[in-house]
Amino acid sequence: MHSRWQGEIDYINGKNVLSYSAHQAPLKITRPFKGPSGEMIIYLMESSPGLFGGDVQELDCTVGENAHLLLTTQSSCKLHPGKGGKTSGQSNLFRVGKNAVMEYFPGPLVPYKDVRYSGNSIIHMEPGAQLFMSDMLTPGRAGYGEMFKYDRLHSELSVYWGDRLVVWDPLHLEPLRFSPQSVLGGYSHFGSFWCLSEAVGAEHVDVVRHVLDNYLDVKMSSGGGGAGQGIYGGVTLLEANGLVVRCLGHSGAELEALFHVIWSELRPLLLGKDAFKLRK
Amino acid sequence: MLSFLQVAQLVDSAFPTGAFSHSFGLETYVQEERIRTIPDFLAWMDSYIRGTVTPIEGTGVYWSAIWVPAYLQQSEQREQEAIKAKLLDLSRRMTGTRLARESREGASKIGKRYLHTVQAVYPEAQLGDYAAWIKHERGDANAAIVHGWICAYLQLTPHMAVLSFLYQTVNSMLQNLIRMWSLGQTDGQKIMTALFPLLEREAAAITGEPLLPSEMYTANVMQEIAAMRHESLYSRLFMS
Repeated sequence: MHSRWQGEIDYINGKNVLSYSAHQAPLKITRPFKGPSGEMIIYLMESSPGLFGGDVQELDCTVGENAHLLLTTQSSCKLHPGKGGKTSGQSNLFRVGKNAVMEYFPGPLVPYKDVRYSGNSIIHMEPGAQLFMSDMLTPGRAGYGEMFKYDRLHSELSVYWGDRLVVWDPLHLEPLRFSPQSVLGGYSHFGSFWCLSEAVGAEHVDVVRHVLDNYLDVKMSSGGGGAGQGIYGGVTLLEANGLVVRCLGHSGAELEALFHVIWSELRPLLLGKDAFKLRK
Repeated sequence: MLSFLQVAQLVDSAFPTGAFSHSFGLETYVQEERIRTIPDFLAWMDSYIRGTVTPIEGTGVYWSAIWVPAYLQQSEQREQEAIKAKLLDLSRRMTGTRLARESREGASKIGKRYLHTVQAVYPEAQLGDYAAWIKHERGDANAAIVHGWICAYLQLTPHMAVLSFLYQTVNSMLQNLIRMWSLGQTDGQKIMTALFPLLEREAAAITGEPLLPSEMYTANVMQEIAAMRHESLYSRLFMS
């Protein structure tokens, strides 16, 4: 099945307006509503129980000059295997216009046994554009004992400022070839938080590092890196206009909570707007 | 055996590249006590080679060694332009995958130094063209591309280009470990020998079933985070 949402948000007469929206089931969106600081909030909804092998889900979203969109999902994205080992996929194309803001916080990926998945996100940033985005990967249906039973996950992110490729992050996870113990250091969950903006500098990296320091799981000898709890994370400046936080942990909720704290710190600094609790 | 001497020179630890100032996150693993024994180091190196070097830089060396001979054979200008575009795309992708700032800046410095030295030693290898392109594109010199290029110029096989690059990579990392642990050089050489089968296997994989540049990937999340964390280590021997 090929599902799709294509939308454009523009800033017209002091308001964010959904000026174009087209969807192909089972993907659709809630009615957009206004957030606490005027941003437009849209929830993506899926009437199917997730992606099956061979399914492709496509998002194509343009945030026009000065507009502000927060796009999120209602729940996690379940990845089911398909017949004949077919790959399922998600492909996102986001264009963030001049002085526009996009925030994209999808639910975590839950890859079931034997799944093959390929995700591809392409982001085009114009001068003054800002983007916050998180992603998270779980080891599978942990409750059923399905830990790292998926076949392979490939996830690729490209960030362009103008026509310059600044980030190319092609991640590959294939438990039978690359042991999760070494790739993910014995942790089960993995997430990234991206903050793209020309205004990002070393001081923002310091702010995030200070947050991470409170969650730290540093030395093997102090019980971390497998048996213990806690989060192992790092933050760094990108080659241009942004930072990335990358974290490993033992629970999705913990990582989500951490990303919320980071978002709460960075959002006022960069957007001049406070963070708020997203209802899910 | 002219080519043997030339390869030996390129992989010699005395060949100035500045690689010995960079641990690419290894120092974080050592300080955080994630690597405490030689088997720990061998496991780290296995992940580093298979999850980063093989699918990115090793593959980059391969394509550089495959494309550059046609460039050097004074092919038509249109073909030369196409090769230039492919090399620059390859170079940009490799830089783009290095998220950790210190590792990215380290790789860029090493690439620049390696380019500079190889150009001085082999002025007729036309690496000046590469230097001019990246200057024009505001790009980084990339050691993998330089290595593939000079090996192509020296008429080495792509396999030899890749294998010698893997050796060079492991050797400089090993020298870093020797300094961090004050290991003896004999022990160091024993570790190197233990890694030979891995290098042979990976070189065969890279050249036997090469990934296209658009198919390159990384599979080393933990090492990448450690490389980011290096920025805030309390005391540091290395720049990355």
